[in-house]
Amino acid sequence: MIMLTLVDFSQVIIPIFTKKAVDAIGKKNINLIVQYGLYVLLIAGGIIVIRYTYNYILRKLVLKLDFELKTALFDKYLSMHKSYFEKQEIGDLMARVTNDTRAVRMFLIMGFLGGMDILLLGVTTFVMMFIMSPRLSIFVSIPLFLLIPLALNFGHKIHRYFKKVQSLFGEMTVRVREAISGIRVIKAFTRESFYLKLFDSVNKDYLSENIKLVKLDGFLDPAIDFLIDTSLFILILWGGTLVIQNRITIGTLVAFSQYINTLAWPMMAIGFTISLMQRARASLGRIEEVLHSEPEIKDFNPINVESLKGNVEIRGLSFKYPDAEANVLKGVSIEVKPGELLGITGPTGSGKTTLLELILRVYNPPQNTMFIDGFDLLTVPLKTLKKSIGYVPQEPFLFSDTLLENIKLGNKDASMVEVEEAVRIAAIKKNIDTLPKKFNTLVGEKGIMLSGGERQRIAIARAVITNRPLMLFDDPLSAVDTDTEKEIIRNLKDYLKKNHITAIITSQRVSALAAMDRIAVLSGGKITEQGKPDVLYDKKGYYYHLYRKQILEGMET
Amino acid sequence: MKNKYYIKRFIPYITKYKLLIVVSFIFLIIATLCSMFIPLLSKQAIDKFIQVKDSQGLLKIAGLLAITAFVLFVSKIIQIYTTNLAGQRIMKDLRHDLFKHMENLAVSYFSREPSGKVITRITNDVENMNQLLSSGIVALFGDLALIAFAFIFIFYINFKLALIVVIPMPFAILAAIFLGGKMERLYEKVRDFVVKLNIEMQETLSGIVLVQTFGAEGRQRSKFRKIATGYKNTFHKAQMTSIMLRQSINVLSFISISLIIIFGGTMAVRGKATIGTIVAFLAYLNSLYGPLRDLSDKFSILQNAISSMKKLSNFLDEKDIIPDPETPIFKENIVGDVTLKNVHFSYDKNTPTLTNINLNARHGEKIAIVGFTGAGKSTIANLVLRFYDPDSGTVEVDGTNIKKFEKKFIRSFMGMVLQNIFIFKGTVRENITLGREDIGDNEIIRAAKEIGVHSFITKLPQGYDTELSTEGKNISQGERQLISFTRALVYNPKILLLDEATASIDTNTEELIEKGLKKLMEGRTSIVIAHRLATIKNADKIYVINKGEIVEEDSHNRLMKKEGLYYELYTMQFEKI
Repeated sequence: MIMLTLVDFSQVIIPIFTKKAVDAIGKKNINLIVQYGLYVLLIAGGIIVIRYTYNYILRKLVLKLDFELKTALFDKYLSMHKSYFEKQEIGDLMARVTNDTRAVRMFLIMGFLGGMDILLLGVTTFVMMFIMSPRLSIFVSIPLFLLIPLALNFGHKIHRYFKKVQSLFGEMTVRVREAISGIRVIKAFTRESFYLKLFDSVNKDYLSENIKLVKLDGFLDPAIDFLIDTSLFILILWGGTLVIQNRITIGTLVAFSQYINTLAWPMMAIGFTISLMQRARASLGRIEEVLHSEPEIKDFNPINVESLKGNVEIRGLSFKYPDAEANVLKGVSIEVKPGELLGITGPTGSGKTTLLELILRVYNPPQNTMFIDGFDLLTVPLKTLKKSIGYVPQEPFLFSDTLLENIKLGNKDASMVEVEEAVRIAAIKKNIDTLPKKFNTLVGEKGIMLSGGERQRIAIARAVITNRPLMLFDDPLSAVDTDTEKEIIRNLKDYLKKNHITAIITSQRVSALAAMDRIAVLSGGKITEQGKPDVLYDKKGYYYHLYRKQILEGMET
Repeated sequence: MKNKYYIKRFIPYITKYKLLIVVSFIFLIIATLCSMFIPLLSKQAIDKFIQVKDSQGLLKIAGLLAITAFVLFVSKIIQIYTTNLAGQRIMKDLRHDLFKHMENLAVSYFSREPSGKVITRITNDVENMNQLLSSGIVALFGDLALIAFAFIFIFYINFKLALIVVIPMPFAILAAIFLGGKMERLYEKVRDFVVKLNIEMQETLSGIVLVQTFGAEGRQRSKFRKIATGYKNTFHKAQMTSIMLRQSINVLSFISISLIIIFGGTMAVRGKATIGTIVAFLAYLNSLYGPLRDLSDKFSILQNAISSMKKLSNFLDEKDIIPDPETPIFKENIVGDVTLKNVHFSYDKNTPTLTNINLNARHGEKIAIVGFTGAGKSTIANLVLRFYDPDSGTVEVDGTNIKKFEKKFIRSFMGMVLQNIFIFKGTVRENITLGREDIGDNEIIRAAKEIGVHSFITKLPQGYDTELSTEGKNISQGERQLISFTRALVYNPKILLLDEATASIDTNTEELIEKGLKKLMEGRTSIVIAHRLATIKNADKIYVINKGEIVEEDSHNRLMKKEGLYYELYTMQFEKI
C-alpha cells in the first residue's frame, strides 16, 4: 500500500516537472529544462521498479489464494460420494474450480489491486489539478466522470450479452452433434435441407447476438476516447482562455493535457471494478456452497475395528436410490462365508451393481440389513471398510498416468515382484511386454488407447495387488475374449483360494460363473435362484438357459 | 500445401462483403487521421492562439477540435461495426457451407473420424477464423497505420526533434518481439495447465468410487496440487513477463518524454521549436508506443487463425462422398424388388464383412435377416441404402443397379427404421415429419394412430408440439421407437429397411411395438434385420447369416424342420425367461 501510494504520487509529479520545464522555456533557462527532463526520467525509473515489485508480490499473493481455493474445492470433492456427483453436473463442479476462481482472481487483480492503484492515482491527480487550478480541474473532469456510469453499465450489459452468445454457441454445437449422430436417418430420408435449415436458424441467431454484442462493445472504446477528447476540448478552450487572461501559465495547460489521460483510467476502473465485484461475489457464493456441503457418507457412531475377515451377510435388504420412486433391491438375503467365491448373475438392471456398491458404501444401506463380520455395515469405520475391500468396477476406469501407477493405485508401496504377479493373474503381462515403454507407458486421455478388454484386465491387476480380504468384481470380464477369460478365471480362482479371500463376482459369462463356489441369480431386485453351479444347472432356470445359449454361441464363433 | 492455396480458398467469402470491408478500411484511415489531427490542433491552439492571446482564433480551433473528436468517434464506431459485421457474416456463410459439406460426406467418414473433431471444425475453428479479420488483419493494419501516421506527423512538425525522440523506438520494438514472444509461450503453457487441471478433475470425479475404494485420495490430491502449483507458478511468470513488457515500453516512452522535454525545451528556448510542438509530441508518443504493448497478442491470434484456416480448408476438401452417376436413370414407378447379387463387402481391407451375398425380396414381400451379433446383418441395410458401395457385386432395385440412380432418388422410395433411434431437439411433429412441410397433420395423426402412439402423444403436455430433446429424456425407449415407426409410415416408402432395436423393453411396450411393426410393413417390400424372432415368423423368406455368409434361407417352418442354426437361435430365444 505504501509502495502504491509512492508510485501513484510519483506518477502525478511527472506532469508537474513537465509544467515547470515548459514554464522554464518561457524563461529561456536551458539548464533548468535539462534538469527537469532528467527528473522525469529518474522518477519514471523509480515508478517502474516499484510498480514491478509490488505487482510481483501482490500477484503472487492472489495466485496463492487462487491455489488455496482450487485445492480446497478439489479436496472437498474428494470427500463427497457418488450420489453427490449424480446430483451435480461434473462440468459445473469443474467450472467452480476454474471459472469461478478466475472471477474471484480477476476481481482481486484487476478490480481490487488495479482499482486501488488507479483510484489512488485518480485522487492524487485530481488533487494536483485542483491545486494548480481549481475551476479548470472541475470543468475538465466533468466528461471524465461520465466514464464511471458508462463503464459500469457497459460492463454489465456486455457480460449479459456475452453469456447469451455463449449459450447460442452451445446450441449450435448441439445441432452439429445431433446431425452427426443422426446422419444415417438424415440421409435415408433425404432431409439434409431441413437440418441445414435448423442449423442455419441457430447460426443466424448467433450472428445477430454477436452483432448486438459488437454494437455495445464497439461503442465503448470510441466513447471513452470521445469523452477524453471532450475534456481536451474544454481544456483548450477554457484553459486557453485562462492563459490568455494570464490566470494560469502555459505550463499548467501542458500538465493538464497529460493529467487528462491519467485521470481517464481511474474513472473507467471504478465502473469495471463494481461490475467485476458483483461477478466475483456470485462466484464466491458458488465456491462457498461447495465448501459448506457435507458428505452424506460418513461414520455414524463407528465401532472400534481395525481389520475385517470378509464375512458378508445381507438380511432382507430393500433399497431405493435417493430421489427414485421404486426399489432397486427388494428383500435380498444372502450370506458369503469367509473365503467363499459367490457369483451373481441376472438380467441387466436387476440390481447387481447396486448390491456391490452398497457393500462399498457408495450409498448408505438401511440400518440392520448388511453386516460384515457380524457388524452392521453402517457402524464399521469407513477407513477400515475401504482398507478391507478390493474392487473392480463395471467401467474399467484408467487414469491418465503410466500403467504402473494405474496398477499400484491402491497399494503404492507394492514391489515389482507383486506387480508382476498381479499382471500374471490378470493375463495382461504379454500385452504390456509388447508396449514400447512397458509399465511406464502412458494410458488414458494423453497416452495410448487400450481396448476394453485390456482395460478390464488392468483393473483386475489393480484389485489383486491390494490383496484385501474381501474382493468385489463387477462384471470384470465382459470385454475379454473367451480364451483369455478362461486363463484369468483359473488364475484368479487359484489366487483367491490360496489367500483365503472372500469374493463376489457379478457376471453374465457362464465360464466365470461355473468356477464359483455358489451362484445367485438376481432378477428384478430379488434373488430367484441360488446354489452350487451344477445344482443350479439342473434346476433349468435362468442359469441353465444362459449356459445353453453361451455354449451354442461358443460353437459358432 | 502452400498458404496461398488456403487463402485463395476463402477469398470468395471475403469478396462477397467487399463493400463492407472497403468501408471499414476507409473509416479506419479516417479515424487514424483524426486521432493524428487532435494533437496537431492542440499544438496550433497553443502556438498560434493561446501564446499570442487570440481568443477568437482559439474559439475557432477549439471548434475544429470538437468536430475532429466527433468525427473520430463516429468513424471509429462505423469502422468497428462494419469490420465485425463483415466478419460475422463471413463466418455465418462459412458455417453454413461447412454444415452442408458435412451432410454430404459419406457415412464412412463419420465412423472413421471422431465427432468431436467435426464439431470443432464447424464451431471453434470458425470462431478462430473470425479473429483473423477483426483482431488480426484489421487491427494490425490499424496499428501500422497509427504508427506510420504518427511518424509522418512528428517528422513533419519537427524533423530534428522527431529524429531524437524515435531513438528509443527500436528498443521498444525489440522488447515487444522478445518479451511478447516469451509471454505468449508462457500463456500457452498456462492454458495447457488449465487443460490438465480439467482432465485431472474430470478423471477424479468420474472415477470417484474407485479413488475412494482404493484409498487413492492422497495420490489424487498430490497430483492435483502438482498441476495447480505448476499453474500458479507459470501463470505468475506469464503475468510478470507481461508486466515487464509493459513496463519496458513505459521506460522507453518515459525516455522519449524526457528527450522531448530536454531537447524540445532547448529548441524552444532557441526558437527552433514551440511549446505546442512539445505538447503535440507528447500526445503522439501514445500512438507510437501504444500498439507495441499488445503486438505479440495480435500475432498469436493471427497464427491461431491461420492454423484453423488450414484445418477448415482441408475439411472442405474432404472427398469421402458416395458419388452420384453422371447420367442418372429415373424411373416413374418403382415396384420395389430388391436383389443383391454376389455382393462382397469389407469395412477394412483385411477382414471381409460380407462374402458372396445373394438375396432377393420381391414387391410386397417381407424378408428377414437373422444371425448372431456381428455377423454382418446391419451392413446389408447400409448397402441397400447406398451408404456404402459393395466391393464387388451389385445391389439392384427393379433390376437396375442402384449406382445408376441418384442417391436422392434411391432414398425417395426407401424408408428406414434404425437400431439407434434418432430423436432430435424439436417437437414431436418435427420428429415425425423431419421437417417436411407437405406432410399434413391428418397424415401424421393417421399414421400415429395406426402405429398406436397417438394416445400417448396426446397425453404429452403440448401434444404434437411437445419439445423433445436429443437424449429424449422425457419419453421412454419404447415410445421413441414408436415415434420412429410413425416417421417411416408417413414417408410411405416402397421398400422398408428395419434394423430392430436390441434394447430390452417391458412387455407392454413390446406388444405395442409388434403391432406397430405389423402395420408399418403392410403392402411394401420389407427387409427386417431381426433380433426378436417372433416378429419374423411369418416372413416370406428368412436368411440366416453367419460370419458374413448366408448359411440358410427358407421359410420359418422349413428352417425349423431343418434343425440347423435357425432352429438353435429360435429355441434359444424362447427358452429364455
